[in-house]
Amino acid sequence: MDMEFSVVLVVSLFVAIGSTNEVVIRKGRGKGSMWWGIAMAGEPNNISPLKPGLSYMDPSVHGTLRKKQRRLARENPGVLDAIAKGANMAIHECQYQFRNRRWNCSTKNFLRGKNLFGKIVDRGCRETAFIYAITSAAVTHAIARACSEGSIDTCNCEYSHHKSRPRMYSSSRGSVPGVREWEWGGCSDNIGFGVEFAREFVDTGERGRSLREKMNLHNNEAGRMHVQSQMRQECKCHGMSGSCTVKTCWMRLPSFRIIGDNLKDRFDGASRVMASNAGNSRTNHAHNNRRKEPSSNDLLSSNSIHSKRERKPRRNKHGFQLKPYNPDHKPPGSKDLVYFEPSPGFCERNTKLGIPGTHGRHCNDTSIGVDGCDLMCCGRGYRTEVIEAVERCLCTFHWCCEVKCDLCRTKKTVHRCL
Amino acid sequence: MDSEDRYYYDYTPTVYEVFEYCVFPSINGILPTLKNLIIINFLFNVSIQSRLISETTYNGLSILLGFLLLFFTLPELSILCIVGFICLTYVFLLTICKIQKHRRLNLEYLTGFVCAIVLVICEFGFNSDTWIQLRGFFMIACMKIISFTSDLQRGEEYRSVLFFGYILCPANCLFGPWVSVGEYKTLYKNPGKKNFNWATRIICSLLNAVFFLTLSNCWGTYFIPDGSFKWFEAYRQALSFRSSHYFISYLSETSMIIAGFNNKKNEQKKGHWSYEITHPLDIEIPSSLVSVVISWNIPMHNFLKYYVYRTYLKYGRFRAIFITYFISSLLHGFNVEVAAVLLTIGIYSYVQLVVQDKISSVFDSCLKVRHCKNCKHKFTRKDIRVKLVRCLFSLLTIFHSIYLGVLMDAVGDPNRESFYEKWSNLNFLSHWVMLVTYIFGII
Repeated sequence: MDMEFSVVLVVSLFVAIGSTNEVVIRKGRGKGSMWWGIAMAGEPNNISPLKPGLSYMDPSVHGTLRKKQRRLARENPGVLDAIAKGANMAIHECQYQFRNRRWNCSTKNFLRGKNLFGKIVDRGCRETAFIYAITSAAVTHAIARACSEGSIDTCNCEYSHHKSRPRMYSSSRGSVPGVREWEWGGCSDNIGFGVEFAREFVDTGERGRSLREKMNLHNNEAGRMHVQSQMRQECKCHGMSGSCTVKTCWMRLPSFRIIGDNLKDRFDGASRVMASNAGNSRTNHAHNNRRKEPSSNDLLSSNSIHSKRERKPRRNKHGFQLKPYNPDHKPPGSKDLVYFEPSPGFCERNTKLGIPGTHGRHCNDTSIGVDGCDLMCCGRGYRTEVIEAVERCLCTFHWCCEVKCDLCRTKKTVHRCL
Repeated sequence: MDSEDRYYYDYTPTVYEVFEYCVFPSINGILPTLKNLIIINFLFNVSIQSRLISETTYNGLSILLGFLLLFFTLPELSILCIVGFICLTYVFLLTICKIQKHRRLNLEYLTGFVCAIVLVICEFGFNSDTWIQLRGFFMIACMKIISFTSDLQRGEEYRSVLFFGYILCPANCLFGPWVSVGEYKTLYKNPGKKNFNWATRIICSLLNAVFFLTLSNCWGTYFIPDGSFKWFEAYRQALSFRSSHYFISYLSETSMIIAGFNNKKNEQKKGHWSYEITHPLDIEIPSSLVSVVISWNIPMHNFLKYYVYRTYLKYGRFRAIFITYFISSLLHGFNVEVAAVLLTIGIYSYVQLVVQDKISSVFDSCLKVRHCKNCKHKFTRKDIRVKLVRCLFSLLTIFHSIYLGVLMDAVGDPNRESFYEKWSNLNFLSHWVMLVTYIFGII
C-alpha cells in the first residue's frame, strides 16, 4: 500500500466519521447491509482478537447484526464463520473485478456496516447494485461450501434412504434449477440451503416497499441466482453392467471468480429501472410478519396494465416487477442487476459521496480502455516512476517435488495518476 | 443460458475442488451402502466362523441378512417385486420337479425360458427408474437360478431352504458376482481360517473400489475436460464406464472376501485369500477383444462357459456361441445398447481371430489371439517385430473398446443419445476399420 493511497484512505475515514449525522438522517437506507461489517470481525486490528470461531455474542459481530440475523446465527451454529468468509470473498472479488476501473471497490477498514464500501452504498447506482449482488452471492457460495465441508450442523447430510429416493438423473442440466429441485444421494441439498439461508439473512431489513429496497432485494436475489445456476449436480449410476444399484452424486461448484465474472458482465449491462405501478401486493415471506401498510400503489395496481404481470410466472421471489426506465427495454430478468440512479463521477474526491477519486491510482499508459492513463486519470495527467522490483525468476523443478527459484531485480515502470 | 454454459465449460477445477465437490461427495454417497454391505457380511462371516449354527440356520441367516441388505439399499416397492419373483420361481421349480418325476423334462431350457420372459417383461413393462435399480439383483438371481436348475438336472439333491439362501446370499445378491451352489455350500462346510492376509485383501479391494469410483466420477473430467477432442472425450466416457464396472467388481470382491468366499485355486495355498472378479490391466491394455471379454467379469464368464456354452455345444459350435451371446444379452436386461455392444464384440472378436490367424500363418510368426503353446513359428513372441505388431493390435483393441464403451456409459439415462447418434458422432470409424481389417484378412 502506497503512502498517497493511505493518506486518501485516512482522509476519507475522517470524512466518514464526520458525516455520521447524515447517516442518522438517512436512517432508512442500507439497514440490511450492516452485516457486511462481519468481514472485518475477525481482523486483529478490530475490537475483538482473532478467534477461530465467531460467536453471535461477540461484540464486534453483535453490533453489525440485526435481531433476526442474530437469531439465524444462533439457530445455525457455524454459520457466522461462513458469512465472514463470504463477506471477505465478496470484497476481494469486487476489488479484483474493478481493479481497472475508476471506482475500484475500495473498502474502509474499521467502520462497519454500509460504510464498509463507503457512502456509495447510499446511492442507487450500478456500483451499489454490484455490491449488493456480489455480497449476497458470496454468502450463498460460502454457506453452500461450509455445508459441503460439514461445518454447519443444520444442513448436514442425512443418510436415511427412506425419506426420499434420490432421483435417477438430475434434470438440472441447462435449466435454471429451482431451490428444491435436486436432492442428492440422500443428502440434503447444500446450495438450496445456501440460497434459502442467504435469502433470510441478507434480505432482512429490506422491506421491499421503496424503490431503493426493491432494487436491493432484486440485486440480492440476482446474486444468489448466479450462484445457484452455476452450481450443478451430476449423478452417475453404478451396478452390474449398467444397472443402477448405487447412485453417486457430486457437485460442480464453480469458483467464485466465475460468479464474479458473470456479475461483472451483468454490471456492464445493468438495467435502469423506475418505480413500477404494480405494487408490492406480495411480500417476501421473510418479512410477512410485518403488517403491510396499504400504499397508493396497491390501489392503482388493479387498474393498470402491469397488474396482469402479477399472474405471470416470471416475477421475482419477492413478488414485484421492476419497470425499465426506458420503456423500449425488456423488464429486468432475475439475473440482471438493476439501478435507478446514474453513477456519480469517480474522478475527483467527493467527500459528500465518500469517493476517494483516482488520485495516485496505477494506470496503463498503452491501454485505451478504462485502465488506460487517459481515462483513469480523467485527463489530469500522470507521473511515471521507475521502481526496482525483486521477483522470483529462473525457476527450476527438482524431482520431487521442489521448485527452486533465483531472486532477480528488475526495473519496472509504473504510472500513477496525478 | 449460452453465456453461462460457456463460462461453465471453460472452467477447470483445481485438485482441491475436485476433492471437495466430487471425491468426498462421491465417497459419501456410497458410504451408507458400503457400511451395510460390510457390517452384514461381517456378521454373516462371524456366525459361520463360530461353527455353532446348523446348515438350516446357515441358510436361514443367509436369507435374513441378504434380505436386510436389499431392504437397506433398494426402494421398498422393489423388495416386493424381489420377494414375488423368488417365490414364483420357487413354486415353478417345485412344480416342474413334481412333473419331472413322471416325465423327463429339460429343466435348463424351461428355467432359462422363464427367466428370459421375466426379464423381458420387466425391461419393457416396468418403470425404467425402478427397474434399473433392480436389474443388478435380477441378473444375478437369474444366473443363479439357471445354474441351480442345471445342477438339479445333473442329479444333485438340494433342499428348498438352500435355494432361498443361495439366491439371497448377502455377499453377492446385490453387486454380484455369480457363485455356484457348490461354492455357496463350501462356505458353510469349510469357512477357511481368517488371517492377516484376509484383512489386507479386504482393505486392498476396498481401496481399489474407492479409487475406481473416484476415477469414474471425478478424475476423468479433471484430466479430459469437456470440450476436448471428440475421441478423447469418447475415451473418457468409455473409461468412466469401465472404471464404474471395476468399482462394482472390487466392491463385490470386498463383500465376498468379508463373507469368507475364497477362490478355488487357493485351496492348495493355505491362508491365501483372493476372489478375482476383474482384471483392469487386461482390459485397459488388452491384447485382443477376447481377453477383454474374459477379464471383464470372470465369474460371469465362467457361468456362461460352463452352464450355457457347454450345454449347447451339442448343437454345434456356431449355434452354441450364438445362444451364449443371446442369453448373455438377455441377462443384461435386453437393453438395446448392451445388445449392440455384445453383438459388435462377438463379430469383432471373430474378425480378430480370423485376421490374426491369417497373419500368423502368412508371416509364420506367433501372432494368434490365443498364445500358441508349442510354437513352431519362425518368429517367436520374443522377436521384437512380433512384439511391435502385438502392440499395434493392442492399440487397435483399445480403439475399438473406446468405441464400444461410449455406448455403455449412460445406459439407464432416459435422456441419453441413441446409440446410432453416438456412433455416428464418431463417424462409425471403428466399423470401417474392422471392415478393412476383415477384407485384409480374407485376402
